[in-house]
Amino acid sequence: MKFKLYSRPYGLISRGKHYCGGLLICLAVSTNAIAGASVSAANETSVKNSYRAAVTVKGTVVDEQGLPLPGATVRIKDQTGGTVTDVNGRFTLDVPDLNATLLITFTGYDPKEVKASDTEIKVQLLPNSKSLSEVVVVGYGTSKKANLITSISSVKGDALAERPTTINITQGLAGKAAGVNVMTNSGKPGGNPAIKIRGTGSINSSNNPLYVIDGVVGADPNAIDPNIVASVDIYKDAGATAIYGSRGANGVVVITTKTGKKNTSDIAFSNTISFGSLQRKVPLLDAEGALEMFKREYEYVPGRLAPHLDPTNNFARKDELFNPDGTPKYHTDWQDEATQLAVSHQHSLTFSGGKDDFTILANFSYKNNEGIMLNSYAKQLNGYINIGWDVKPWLNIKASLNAGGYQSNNVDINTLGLNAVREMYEFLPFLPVKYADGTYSRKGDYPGAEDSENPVKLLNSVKDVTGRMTTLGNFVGTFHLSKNLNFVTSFSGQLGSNYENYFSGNDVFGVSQQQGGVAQRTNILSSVWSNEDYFSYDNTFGKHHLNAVIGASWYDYVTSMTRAGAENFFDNTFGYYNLGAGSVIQTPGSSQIENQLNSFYTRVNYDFDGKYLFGASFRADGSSKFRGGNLYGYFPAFNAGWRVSKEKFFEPLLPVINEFKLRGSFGLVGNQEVGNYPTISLYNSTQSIFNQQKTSAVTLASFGNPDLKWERAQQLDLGFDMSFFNGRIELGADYYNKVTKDLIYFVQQPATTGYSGAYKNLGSIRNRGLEITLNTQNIVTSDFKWSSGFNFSMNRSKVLDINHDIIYTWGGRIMEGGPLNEYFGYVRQGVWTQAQAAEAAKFDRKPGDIRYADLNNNGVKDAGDRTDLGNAMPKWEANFTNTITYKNLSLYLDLQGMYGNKLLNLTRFIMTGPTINVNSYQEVLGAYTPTNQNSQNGQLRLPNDSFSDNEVGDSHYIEDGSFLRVRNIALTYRFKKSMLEKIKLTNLSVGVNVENAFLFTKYKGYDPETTSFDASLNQGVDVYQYPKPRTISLNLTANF
Amino acid sequence: MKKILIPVLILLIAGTSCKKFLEEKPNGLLTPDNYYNSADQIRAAVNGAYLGLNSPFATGIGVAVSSVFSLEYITGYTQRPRPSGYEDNQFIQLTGLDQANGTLQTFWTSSYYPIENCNSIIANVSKSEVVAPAVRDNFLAEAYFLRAYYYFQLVRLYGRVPLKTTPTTNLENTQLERAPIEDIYNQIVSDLTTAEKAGLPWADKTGHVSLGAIKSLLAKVYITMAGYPLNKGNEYYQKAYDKAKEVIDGGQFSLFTNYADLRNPSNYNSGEHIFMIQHDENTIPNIMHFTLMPYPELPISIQPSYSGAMAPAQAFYDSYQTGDQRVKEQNFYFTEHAKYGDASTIIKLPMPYIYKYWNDQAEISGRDGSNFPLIRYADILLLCAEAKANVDGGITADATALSAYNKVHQRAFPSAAAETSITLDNVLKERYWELAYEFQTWFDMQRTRKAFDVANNKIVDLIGYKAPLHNREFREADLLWPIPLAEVQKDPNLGK
Repeated sequence: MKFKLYSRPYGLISRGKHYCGGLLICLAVSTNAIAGASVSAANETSVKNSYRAAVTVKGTVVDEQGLPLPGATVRIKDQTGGTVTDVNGRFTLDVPDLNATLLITFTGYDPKEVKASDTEIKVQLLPNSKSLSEVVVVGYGTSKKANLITSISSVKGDALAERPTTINITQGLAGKAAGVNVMTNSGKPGGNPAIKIRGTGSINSSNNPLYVIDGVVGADPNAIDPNIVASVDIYKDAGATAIYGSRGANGVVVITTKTGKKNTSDIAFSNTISFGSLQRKVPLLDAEGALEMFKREYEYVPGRLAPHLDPTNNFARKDELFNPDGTPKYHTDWQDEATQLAVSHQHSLTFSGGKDDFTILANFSYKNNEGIMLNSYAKQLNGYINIGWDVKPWLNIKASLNAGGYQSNNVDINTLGLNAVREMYEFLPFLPVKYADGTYSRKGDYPGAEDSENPVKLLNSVKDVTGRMTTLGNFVGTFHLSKNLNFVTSFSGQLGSNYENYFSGNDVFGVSQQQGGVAQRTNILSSVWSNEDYFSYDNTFGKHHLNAVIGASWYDYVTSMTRAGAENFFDNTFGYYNLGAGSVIQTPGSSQIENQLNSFYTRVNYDFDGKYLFGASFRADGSSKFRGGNLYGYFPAFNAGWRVSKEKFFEPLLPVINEFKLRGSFGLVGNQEVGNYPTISLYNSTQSIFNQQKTSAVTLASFGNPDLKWERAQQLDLGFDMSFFNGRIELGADYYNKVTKDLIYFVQQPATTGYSGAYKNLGSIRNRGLEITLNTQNIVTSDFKWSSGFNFSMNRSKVLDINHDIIYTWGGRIMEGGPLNEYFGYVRQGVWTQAQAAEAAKFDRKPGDIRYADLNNNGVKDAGDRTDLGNAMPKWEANFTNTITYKNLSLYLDLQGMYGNKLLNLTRFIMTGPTINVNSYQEVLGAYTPTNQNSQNGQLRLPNDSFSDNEVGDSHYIEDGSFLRVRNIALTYRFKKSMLEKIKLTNLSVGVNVENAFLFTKYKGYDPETTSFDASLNQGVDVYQYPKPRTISLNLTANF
Repeated sequence: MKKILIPVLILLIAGTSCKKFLEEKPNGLLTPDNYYNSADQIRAAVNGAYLGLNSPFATGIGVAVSSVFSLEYITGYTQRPRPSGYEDNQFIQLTGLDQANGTLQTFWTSSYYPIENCNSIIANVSKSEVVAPAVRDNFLAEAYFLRAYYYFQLVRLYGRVPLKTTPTTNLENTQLERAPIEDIYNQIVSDLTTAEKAGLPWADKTGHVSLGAIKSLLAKVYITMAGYPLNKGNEYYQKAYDKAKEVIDGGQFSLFTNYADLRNPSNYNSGEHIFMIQHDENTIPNIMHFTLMPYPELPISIQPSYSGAMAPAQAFYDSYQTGDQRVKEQNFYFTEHAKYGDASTIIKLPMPYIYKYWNDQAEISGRDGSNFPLIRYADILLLCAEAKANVDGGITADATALSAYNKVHQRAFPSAAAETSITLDNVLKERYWELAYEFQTWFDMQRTRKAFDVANNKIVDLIGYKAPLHNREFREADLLWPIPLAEVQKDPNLGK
C-alpha cells in the first residue's frame, strides 16, 4: 500500500488540503477502533447499573483553609463509578452499603479515604507535602514526578508572573531553574532577555531552546502572555529532549497554558500599577567637572586655553552658557533629563470553569509598560480561549486560540551610533536641554566637542516602533481507543505579522538631517502549520508498568519580508505613515524563506514496581534544510532510574529520607538552526554603478555544501532527587557533560577560493556543569510559615575543535582549548611616568601616555601583546527565594547572585580615553598630570596632540561583574475568606512589590547583567546599556 | 490491536513518500543551476566583477579609517590628522608590518574575491552560446581586464601570490602554492592582450572597460615589469612606451584645461579620465570627500565629523615649485574654506588639506557620489615620457615623450616654456606632484626603487631614504607586504 500523500503543488492552500486527506484516512481507520472501545464502555455501564443503590452519601470537600474544593473526585474504593464535587465542594454518591470506603482525590492534594456514612461527611484535603506526586509534562505525554528519570525543571505559572514588569515568558523564567541561565540584558520594557540552557553549544547555529506550547512544537514563546501559562517545564538532558530530535540540542521549554476546572466557575481579575525609576546612576562628570576636563585637555600644551576660558574665542553660545569667569550657567543632569518615572499598568480578566464534561477558560489581558527612558514603552494586548470537551466517551477535544498584539518603541537602536541612550551618557552637563530661544542644545555648541543632538531631542524625534500581531490556534483530538490506548491528533497554525516602523525627522543632526529625514517600514509575515499524530499506551501488568508513545509530525514554515523606505521629507508631519511624501526612494527589499520538517518518534518507559525505571526514545527528523543521505537524522536517548527509597533495606531510613532516587541519561540531540539554504551555492543580486546610475550586478555569494547535516549534542546526565522529613526538604542535583559535535560550522576558506568559507560539520564544544536545587519548609506552624527555594548552577565551556581557527568576538576570541565568551586584549600597566621617560621612548611614548605590557618582549606594541583577560559567563550563579507567611500576610524575597563574570565596559572605554570630546566618568579627573603621575588614565589632551592609544577591550575596561541583587520583594495581604463571603468574593489580595530593589556590585556601569550584542558569544559587552529601573508596584487580585 | 496498526502503517508510508515535502525551495534566489542562460545574466555578472575596485576603500572601515589610505601612509609623505590605532601607525611611522594587520587582509580579499568572479565569468561565458561571439568576446574582455587589474594589484603588493584562473568547484584541496612573480605578470599580460583583441570601443562614457583602459593598464604593467622586481629593462620600457603611444595616438583622451575639471561630474569617464571607480550618492558612495576633511572638524560641510584620514606632509606640500598651479588654492590642496551655509565667513585650516576629491554637491547633500580616478591620461603621458627616458639612458628628446611631458608640466606652469629635453628624474618628480594621493605613488616607488627627497628636491634611492613622516629609513623588507596571517593559517603553503 503506497500512495502519494504529497504531490507537491506550490502554495499553501493545496498543501493544506493534502493534510486534510491524511487526517481523514487516520480518522476513518481510527473510528473502527473507537467503535470497539465504545462497546466495552457500554458493557461497563450495565455492570454499574447492576448495583442496587442502598445508601446515598452526601458531603463536602474542603481545602486546607476549610474552603470548598470544587472539582474533587469522589469514588468508591476499588470500584468504578464516582462523582466530582460541585462549585460548593458538595457531592452526592450512591454506595452499596455503609461498609464502602470513599476515596477523595484532587490534583495537587493528598488523596484521602473515609468511611461512608449516612450523616453529612466533611472531608478536608491537604496539599501534597510531596511535590513528587505532581505531574510533569514530558514530550508527547505526562509523567508523575516520582517516576521522572530525566532532568526537567518545572516552573509554575504564578512564579513566572510574580515580577510585575514581566511581559514575556523568557523574562519570567529568570532565576527560576538551575541550569537555565536567563540574562535580562536590558532595562527596557521586555528586558531583552537571553536564555541559555546548559551553556552555549553552537557557534554558527542558534543557541535558543525549542519552545513547545500545548504540544505545538516550534511555537513562538513571545506570542503568548505569561498570564495564561499554567506551568513551564524545561527539559535539560538528552533523556528529555531527544524526542524533539533535530531541534532539541539547546534544551526544550514546554509551556502548558491554563485550562478551566470541571464543575467550577471563577472570575479572576488582577490589576497592577507600577512605578519605575533609575535604580542607580553612573558616576559621570557634572558641569564643573566636564569643564575641568576640557581645561586640562587644552593645557596639555602649556598656555593653550579651553574655549570657555579663552577671551579671544567668542563662539556662538558662549555668553548664554558661561559667566565671564568661565563658570557654567547651566547644570544639567542628563541621567535625570532623559529618564522619567515610568508608570505602567497591567490588567487581566479571566473567566474559567466547566461542567462534568466541559472546561473553558477565557482570558483577556492588557499591559502598558513605560520604560524609564523618555518615550520608550511596550504594550501588549492578548486574548486567549481554551476549551476542553469530552464529546463522547471515546473522544476528548481541546481547542485553544490565542491572539494578541505587541508594540514597543526602541530608543536604543543603532547601538554604536549617536543614539539617545548614548547621548544620555555623553552629553555635556553644562548645556541646557533647550536654550531660552526654545532650540535644543547640541554638543557641538561647545567648540571641539563631538557634535550631536541632545538625548531629549533624540528621544522625542526618532521613533523605532516594532510590533507584532500573532495568532496561535491549536486543535487537539484525543481518541480513547481502549482503556490503555489513546490516539492524539493535533493541528496547529501560527500566523504572525511583525513590523518595524522607523522615522527620524529632517532636523535631527547626525541621524537623518543629511538625508532630509528617513522613514522606513518593514513587514514580515509568517505562517507555521504543523500536524502531530501519535498513539500513547499505558498499562500495568502486576508490578510491571509500561508507557509508550509512537507518532509522526509535519511542520511547514514560510516567512516573507517586505521593506520600503524613503528619505528627504519637506515636513516631519508624515512620519512613517506616508512614504510617498519623501522625494528619495530607498531600494525596496523583499524575500521569502521556507522550510519543512517531517518527523517520526517513539518513546518507551518501563518500570518495575515503581522502583527500577527505564526509558528510551528515538526520533527520526527529515529537514528540508539538508539533502540526500542527510535528509533524515536520527536521535536516540536512554535513561534509567532507581528509587533506592523503595528498597527494603532503605526502610529504616524512611522516616528521615522519604524519597531517594538516582537517575541517569545519555542521548543524542540535534540542532538544525543554521541559516537558510546552506546546501545550495547562491549568487548575490546587487547593484553596480555605471554612468552614475544603478545597474543590476551579480556576484558570487556562498558556496553550498550538499553534505551538510545536523549538529549533534551528545549529553550525559547523572542526578539524584531526595526528599527529607516528609517533604520538608527536597534536594535535587545534576551533573551533565554535553559535547556538541559536527558543529554546523562556518569553515573559513583561503580567500583564493573566492569565498570566506562554507558550512561544514566540523568541530566540537563541550559544556560541563552542576545544578543543585534545594527547597525547604523551614518553619511550618498554623500561623507562621517560612519556606525557601535555592538553586545553584555552574557551567564550564571548552572549545575542543574548530579547525584551528580563531574567531574574534567583541573584545574577545574563540580558540581551541579555551572557553567561549573569553575576553582577549592588551594589558594596561598604567601610564608612563616621568621617571620612565627613557623606557617609554623605546615604545615611542612619552610620560602621560598609556603604558601597555609588552608581553612578547619584542620592543614594540603589536598584536602579539594581547592575552586572555577573563570570561563573561559567571563561575557560578545562584538564586535564593524566601516566602514568609504570617496569618494572611506573606512576604516574598528573591535574591539573585552571580560570581566571576567579567564585562567589557565599552562605554567607559569610549568615554574615558585621553582625547575624550564628550562627557566622561568622574575617574577621568584622576588621569595623569605631572603632579599626579600614578594613574590608569592617560594624560588628557586634544585629539591632534601627540599620538596616544587607548585600546578597545584592554584590561582596564574588563571589569568584574559579580553581583548580588535583591531582585524582588513582595508583600501580600490576603483577606480572610469569612470577610469576603459577605461580598461574594472567593479571594481578594492586595500587595506591593519592589523589583530590582538593591544591587551590590563593583561594576562601574548601570548593571552587570547586560550585553549590547548577541548574547551567546558576546555576553557582557556593555555599549551604552539601557539602564535597569527599580520598580515599585501595587497589585490587587480578586476572584468571584 | 490489529486495527490500530493500520494508522501506524499509514503514517509510516506517508513518511516514505515525503521526499518532496522536504525539498528545498530557494525562492527568488540565483543559483548556478539557473544562471548564465541569457545575455542579461552575463551582463549582470560582469557588472558584479567591477565591485571589487572599490573594496579596498569600503572594507572594514571606521571613522575616517579605510585600508586604502595605507597605500599613501606607507610612502611617508602623508600624515593622518585624526589619531588612529597601531594598524595605521605601522604604515604611517614605518615601524614594520604586523602580519595580522587588517589592511593586508583587506587588499588580499579585495583582489581574490573579484578574481573568483572573473574566473567564474570566463569559464561560463567562454562556453556560452546564448550570445553572439562578438558580444561574448566583449564581455570576456571586461572580465579579462578586471582579472588582470586585480592580479596587478596583488603582485605589486605581495609579490609571489597564488595564481588561480579557474573557478572553485569544490572545497577540497583549496590550499595553493605561491606562483613565481613572472608567471603572474605573464598571466596579466596574456589577459590584457586577449582583452585588447576583442572589439571594445576606445572609450566608454558609462564607465565600463574600454580599449583605452586596456592599453593604458598594459602600459602600466609593462613599465612595472621593466623595473623592480622583474627588472626586464629596456625591452619592456620600450613596450611601455609603445603602448602609451598607442593610447596617445588613439586621440580619444586629453588633459583637462583646469584641475577643477577633474572633479566635474560631466567629465567622468572621458577626457582625462580613462578608467574610474563608479560611484553614486546612495548605493555606492565615495568616501574621499568626507574622510579628507580637516580634523578636528571644522564646519565647512554639512557633515564634517568623519574627517582627518589624510593630509600632505608639510615638507611634501612645500616641495611644489613656486608658481605650480597644483598648489594653488582649491586645485589639489586647500588651506581655507567658506563656512558651510555662510559663504562670507572664511575658515582657516591649521594646515594644508587635500582638495583633489572635494565634491561641491557632497558639501551640501552630505553624500559623495563622485567617481574616483584609477587611470588618468596624465599618468599615461608621464609614463610615456618616463619609459622613453629610460630607454634613452636617463634623458630624452623624443618628440612624443617631450610632448607628453610638456602637456602635464605646462598645465601646472602655464607660462613655462616647453622643455626640449627631459631627464628621468624630472619625470619622476612630476609624477609625485601630479599623481599625489591617488594611491599610485607607492607603486612608482616600488618599481623604480626611487624616492623623492623633498627636503633637497632630488630623486634618491628608496632604500636608506627616511621619508618626512617615517620613524626610520626604508629597508628592502618594507617593499612587499607579508601575506595576511589569517590566510597563512588557512593555507600554510602561503608561508613558504
